[in-house]
Amino acid sequence: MRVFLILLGKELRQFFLSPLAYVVILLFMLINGVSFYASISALTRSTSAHNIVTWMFRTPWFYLSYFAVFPLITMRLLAEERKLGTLETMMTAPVRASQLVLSKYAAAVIFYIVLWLPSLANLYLFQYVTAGAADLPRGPLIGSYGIVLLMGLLYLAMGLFASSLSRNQIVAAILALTLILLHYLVGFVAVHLSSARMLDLSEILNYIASVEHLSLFTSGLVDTRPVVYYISLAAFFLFLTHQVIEFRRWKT
Amino acid sequence: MPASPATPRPIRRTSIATNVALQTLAGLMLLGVVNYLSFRHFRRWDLTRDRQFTLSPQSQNFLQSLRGRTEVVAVFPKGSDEEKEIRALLEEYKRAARPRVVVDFLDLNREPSRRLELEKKFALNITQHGLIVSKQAAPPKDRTAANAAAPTAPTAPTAPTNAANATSLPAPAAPADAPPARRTRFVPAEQIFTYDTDGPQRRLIEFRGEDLLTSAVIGVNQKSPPVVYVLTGNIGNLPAARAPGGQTITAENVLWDMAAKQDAHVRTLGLTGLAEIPADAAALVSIRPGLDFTQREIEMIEQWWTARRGAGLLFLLDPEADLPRLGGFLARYGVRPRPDRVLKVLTTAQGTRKELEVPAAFNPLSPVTAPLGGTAVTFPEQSQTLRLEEDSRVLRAGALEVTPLVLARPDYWGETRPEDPAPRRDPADTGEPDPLVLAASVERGGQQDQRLSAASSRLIAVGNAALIDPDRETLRVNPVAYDFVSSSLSWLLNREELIGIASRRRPGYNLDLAPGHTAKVLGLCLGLLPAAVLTLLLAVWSARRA
Repeated sequence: MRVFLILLGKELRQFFLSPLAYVVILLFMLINGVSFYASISALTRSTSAHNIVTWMFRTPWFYLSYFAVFPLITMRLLAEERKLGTLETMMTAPVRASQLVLSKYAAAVIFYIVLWLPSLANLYLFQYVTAGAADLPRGPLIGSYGIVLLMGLLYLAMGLFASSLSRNQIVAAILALTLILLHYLVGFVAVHLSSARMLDLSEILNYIASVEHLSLFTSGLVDTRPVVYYISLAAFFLFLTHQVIEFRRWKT
Repeated sequence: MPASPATPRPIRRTSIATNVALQTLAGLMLLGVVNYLSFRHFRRWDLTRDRQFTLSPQSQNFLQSLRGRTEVVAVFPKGSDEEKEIRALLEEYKRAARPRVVVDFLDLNREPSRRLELEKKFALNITQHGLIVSKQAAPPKDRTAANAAAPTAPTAPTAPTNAANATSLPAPAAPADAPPARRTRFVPAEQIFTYDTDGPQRRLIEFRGEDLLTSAVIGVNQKSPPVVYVLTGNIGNLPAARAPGGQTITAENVLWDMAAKQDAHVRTLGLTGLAEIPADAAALVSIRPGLDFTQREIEMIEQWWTARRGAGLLFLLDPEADLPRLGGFLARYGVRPRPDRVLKVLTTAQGTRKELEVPAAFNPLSPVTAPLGGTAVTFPEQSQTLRLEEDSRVLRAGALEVTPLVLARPDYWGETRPEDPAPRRDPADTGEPDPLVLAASVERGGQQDQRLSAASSRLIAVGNAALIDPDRETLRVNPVAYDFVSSSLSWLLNREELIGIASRRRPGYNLDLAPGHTAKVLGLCLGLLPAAVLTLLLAVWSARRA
């Protein structure tokens, strides 16, 4: 545990003492701000079936920022270590591959959570400024941030895995983006284009479709199936990353 | 002589690679098992404020008591908002009734061959979106007897309404070697979803999926649907709203629609010249009787109501009508309509005026109105009060239980001299301390314990005839009033499982911001907060450079 905490501290320092991290936060914040403003405009123009929280997670701005952020967070995690040759050095130290993977992943998750805090602040600042003009429904609020966290857990694990496969950060980022978009689009296409002929298949497609999960959770319906799905798949990608590092250790 | 160094053991890369591959395979299998278990055994939490995704206890209880296998096919375009709503609802149905409700989906445009297959299976033409609910009847022991007693196809309701009714679809006549008959219902999408089309985008404002689906499931699981007769002959002029197609819609049409949604058959009945009430009548409804019933008609109704177990009577009374015989009949069972008009005096700059629309509350202790408790309803136009005898010797001897259903707000009173232009309260007027009862129920032969309850005879009198009149502009009926009359009808038909399954109203969200608020919010979200991060960025950058 001590080794893990030391590694986590090192990773967090690398995140938060790097100008790139603040550039990412700044860009994410600006895009989220525009998304929030688009939601306010939509609700000011006409009556909508969706509340302000649900709106925030349904604008095109949300998707624009959402999928781009994971490669930015994860691309350097292992690829940079390999490029600089520090991964081999670390492998000779009394550090397990699992500790290395988990510490990098935990740091990425913490950074990801920090990334989302300003959007939550936007909602409460809005409430404060307008003296509660908009209703902030608890259910959709919990559901929306819950699903964003769950999907983030998976996509960060995918990004970390992609980073373990290449020593080039750009390649790692492209690979991560491809994996993430493939996962999202497979669910999207499956739900919209599949035939309902095989009912069980249709249910399975809904089980993996992130677009459905986003829709349900942002409406305030929390289901254990996506929770298990994202956490287990994230664990599987972490396991794969661990295997890649272990394999390299013995290969050299 | 120093010992020669031990020869290092070579790394067995092949076995390590095999080991890694096996571990990966095991991990993949574990992932599959975990997700399979999660797919089969899951929980859902509905965190919405008005529990939009949760089935009512009534539906849940009914589904748990269901026998056999009921099939539901949702015919909606894949990925549409309607399909998402229906999918979430059917998910709850499956959970509550698994494995007794089997759910399937059909997209008419994308699956033409499957559509043909289902058309053949259910013996119907699938041309519009909606829900198909079907159940294969249990195979009879004796085929000949089965054919003789094969359920006749329920006739599609022919209500004089432009609103589409839940349609009972005819099953084909069963030949000797045919499989057992199938009971099928179709609930059209336009009944399930009500949209507001006034704004730039159409918006869902009401979702009736649960009550319509539960009604249809009840319908296919019962041998014969109950028949509701709407009394004609002494009916007053029903205010009519004109639909765009030129047809008129009255409260009677609304009632037809309501009964059809409960999978009951509706017919009209004139009492003149009739020897007795038809034996298949489960309930009689009289909307706005303008003329009094004859003595013989009252006797016929009374005889039917007292002799038939499970008989239901519903009266929507017009305060302006003089109905001594009907009033006498109701008084014998503990409900006496008063000759008054409920109002309140409003003082405005133009002087005083009588406010006749009465805000009222539902009795939370009655099984009819308990599920509506907490919602307010406004009785439109004119209302009269009902005096109840809740605890008299006669009622006890007749095993009658009289219960108030709707009470007017205490600041209203019943004016007994409506012709008096001066709105003042006389001693003869009704009001506090007497409660102003606007609707009441009578149950004859009921049991406190629901488990022992056989079908009891029931009656509901409402001191307002305009409650379910459609609005002349929007053609809509006040949704709370609709739910109240619908619950009343369910109770009269001894269908408690349908009481309280109200439509789900979808709130509309909009923002009415004060001038300057948007700019201030924009300044904070896109100005101040990013500026703070930019300051941090510059600090980190300069620190690293230093």
